[in-house]
Amino acid sequence: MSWLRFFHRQRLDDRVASDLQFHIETETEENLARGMAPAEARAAALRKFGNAAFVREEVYRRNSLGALDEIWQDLRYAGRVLRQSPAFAATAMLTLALGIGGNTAIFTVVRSVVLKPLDYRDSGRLVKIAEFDSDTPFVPETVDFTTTYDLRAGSRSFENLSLEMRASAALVDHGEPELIDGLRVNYDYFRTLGVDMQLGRDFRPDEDQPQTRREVILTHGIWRRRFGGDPRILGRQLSLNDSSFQVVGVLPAWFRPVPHAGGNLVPEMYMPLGYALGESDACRGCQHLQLIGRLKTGISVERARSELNSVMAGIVRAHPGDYARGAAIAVTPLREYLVGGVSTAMWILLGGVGFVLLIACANVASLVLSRAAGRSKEMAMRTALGAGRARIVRQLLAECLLLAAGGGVAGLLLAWGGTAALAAFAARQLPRADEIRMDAAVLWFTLATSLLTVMLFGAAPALRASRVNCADALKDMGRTTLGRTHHNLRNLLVTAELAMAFVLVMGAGLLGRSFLHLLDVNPGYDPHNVLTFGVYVYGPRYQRKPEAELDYYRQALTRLRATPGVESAAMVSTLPLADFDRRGFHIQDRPLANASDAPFADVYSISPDYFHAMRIPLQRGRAFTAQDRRGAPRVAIVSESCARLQFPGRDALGAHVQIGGRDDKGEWLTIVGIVADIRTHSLDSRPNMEAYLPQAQDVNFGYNLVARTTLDPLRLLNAAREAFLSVDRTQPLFHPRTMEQYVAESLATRRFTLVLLALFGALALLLAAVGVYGVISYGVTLRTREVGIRMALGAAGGDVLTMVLGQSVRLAAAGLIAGFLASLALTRFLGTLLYEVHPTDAVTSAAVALMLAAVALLSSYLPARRATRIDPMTALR
Amino acid sequence: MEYNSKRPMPTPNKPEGDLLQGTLDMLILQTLVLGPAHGHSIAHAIERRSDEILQVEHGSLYPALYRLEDRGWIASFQGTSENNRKARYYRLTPAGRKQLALETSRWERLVNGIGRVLRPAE
Repeated sequence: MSWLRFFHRQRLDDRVASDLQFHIETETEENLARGMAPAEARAAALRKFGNAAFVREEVYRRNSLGALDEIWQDLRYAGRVLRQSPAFAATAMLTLALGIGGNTAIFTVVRSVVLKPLDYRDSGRLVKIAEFDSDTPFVPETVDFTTTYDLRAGSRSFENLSLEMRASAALVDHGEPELIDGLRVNYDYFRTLGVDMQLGRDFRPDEDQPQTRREVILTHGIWRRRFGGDPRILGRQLSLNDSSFQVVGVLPAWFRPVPHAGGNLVPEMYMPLGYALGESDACRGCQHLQLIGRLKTGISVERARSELNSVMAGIVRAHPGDYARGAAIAVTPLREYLVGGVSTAMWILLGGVGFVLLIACANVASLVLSRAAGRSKEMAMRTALGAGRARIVRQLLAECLLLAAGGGVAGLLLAWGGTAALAAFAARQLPRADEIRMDAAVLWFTLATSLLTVMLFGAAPALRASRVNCADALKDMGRTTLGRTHHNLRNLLVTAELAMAFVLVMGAGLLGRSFLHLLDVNPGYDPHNVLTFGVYVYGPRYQRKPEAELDYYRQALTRLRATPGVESAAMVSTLPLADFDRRGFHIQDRPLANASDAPFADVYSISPDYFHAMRIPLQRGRAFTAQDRRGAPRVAIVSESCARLQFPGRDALGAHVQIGGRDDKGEWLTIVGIVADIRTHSLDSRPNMEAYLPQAQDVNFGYNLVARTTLDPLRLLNAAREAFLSVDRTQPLFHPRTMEQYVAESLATRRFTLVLLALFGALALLLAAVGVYGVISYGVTLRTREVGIRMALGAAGGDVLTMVLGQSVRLAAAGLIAGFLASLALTRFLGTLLYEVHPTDAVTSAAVALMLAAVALLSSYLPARRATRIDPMTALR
Repeated sequence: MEYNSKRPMPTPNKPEGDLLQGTLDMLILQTLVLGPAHGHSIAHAIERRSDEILQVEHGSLYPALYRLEDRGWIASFQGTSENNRKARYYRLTPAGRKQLALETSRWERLVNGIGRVLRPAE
């Protein structure tokens, strides 16, 4: 039988009909010729022919794909059946839509953020390379120029190794000065990423040299925003920090800069790096550059890693004084480097929403089961009329298929809205959030999920429903106990629902407690009511004139302090949680065999009022004053941890240290104060050592204002800006934030995970409550007669209530025990997302158990009340 | 005998010499060796040439014809019958000729074998 015949079997049937007609008529004519009477002639012909209708049917049937035909029939019938019970269909579809929609939305996020390759050409070959010291726990981030030079010379695994570093600059082209975030990159940077310019050209090797770098490439975004998408932008001179740069290229609109872990810098322009060996910034150990590499085709990350490390071992042997003992090279696939931090959270969310889907399926299975019980008479009738068991299973599965299809379509709509909401919610909290969108893979996922749900909620009920005993079922439905077996299965389903809800709510509870713990963490400073913004000083007025720069800050701060609502104000080189500046910490009377073995301290260059403005408690000694100026004896203040760890058994106060490199002929700094620790990198990482230098003795590049206010800090933003602009209108001010915003941002990914998991937990609770309600309520219906008898024999309403609630207590207990055991196995996957909470925290377990028990009891209270109102007379009649 | 309907064909008035499925195929192919014919004349040809021993239930002929056509052993075309009606004619294809030779020899071996069992002396 050829497939195609199926589709023109109607035409074939016509042909068969005409063949048969011809045959019978010819036979009739022959009979007439033999002398039969007309009626007899035709009758004889028909007799001779046999059953013509059956021949046609037989041919037609052979030309059908029987299964396909019957499936279509089943689906049409299922459609009619579902239309007859719209409430059931809608409930089931909505429940499934929640599950499928949630899964589709989260899968969309996971796929876009974690699974999909980066947008760059052949992005699987891009890696992030960093030097690290295997003796320290710091995440490898940076490299130095000279080491990179040696790595390039010694390795064969890479097509390109390309450096980049932050380089923001003030653009004063027309009107308001603006600080543009940018990067200085090696000339082959865009070749490494595999990006072609939309306009103009890439950098040339001779432009990536000291003194010659005068070119700039703009992103599509700034080209549109600041230059109105001017097609004649090429060749235009831009004034950046008072130097003239020529625009040579514009990047395409699809290009997204390589994001940096922990950095909220979004570069809008690129300039040549222009480093050379022998320059002071290029030294071994001057680790402030980022390195990305493109592997040659067919070279694995492992191979590149082992090659670079053997090259590195040689470099360390040649220059032992410049590297730490454990110096090594980390090679990470770029995608993993970018999203590694959130991938755990993403998978956990997908797992959580998968549980919601399972619970939804259990609920629908339960619904289908109770309907099947009501339809056993119909099934018996169909069996009696000759339907095979397979046929009945198929019929029921067809109904489930329709339900799942409806749920899938509705789920897709839900996911469409949900994904948009998630993308907006995730915007500042997830890397690659702007890439979140649904694609073909997501649609396949939805289809597969929907089909899977049919198997999950449809198979068991269908198989069970098909096992009917015709005689029993047809005899009397009113009296049947058939529901019992269904009921056991439903109890099992509800138990499973409660168990899964337990695990989900437990997970959300643990994350919630971690979050609360983190909110309770004392960061060491008071983040409330602190206004901050970046200040950037450039131009001939300030270049190599630190006194002028300091004067600018002093004047602006003086004006600001006079503003009503401002309590205190100070400048700091880097804001905690926003950035860090890590330098070597050398103690005068503790010379090291290897200078690079010196510990690192996070260094802050501050104006005198900083500790006061940030409310960092001074523990001993003194804070900086205006007398700690240039030329005065150099001083430093260290944190408590620094004092304890670096000066064991002696007093840090009065000790002499150097920050940065050690220079025994240079001036030593005297420690004059000890302040409390602060959390520099994140609320959940333990304090490192901090060292503070007076701004006047260590003018840094770029500062931030911190102003403590007595009212909402953002309301003072304009006054604060005016205080600075009134001193010098040409200097850009940028990134206005409150310190609380930095705290909130540092918790953003956690908040994202927590909110979603809490949402899933709530959904799971709701579905489980509906499930419990359904099963108890159905149980009451089944036991109406029994309850009637009991009441007739003298049972009071209270007894009946206890009886029904007892059933729900048994269910809940089974569910909670199963859920607790499952949570013991599953919550440890939350691992790094937890903070100071054990994955099997007893308090959380108990609270969740209590909550679930309450939900189970509440949702069975209504049916239990109904049971007490059963009228024995009606029930027994 | 490859053809195997799940539902047995109802034969309201079983004629004598009810034909085995594959045998009918062979007879149809043999009939068409002489030239194209339509269904009605095939049925009568089989009856006539077997001296009316083989009574074909005419209806059962058609599923066999369509089946043979599906397999490519016969082909059909529209023609005009001797009584001036439009009729579908069937003719043997080269593949059908080969199949006929195959089935004929198989049949002869079978008859031979059965003959030896029934008359072992010869």
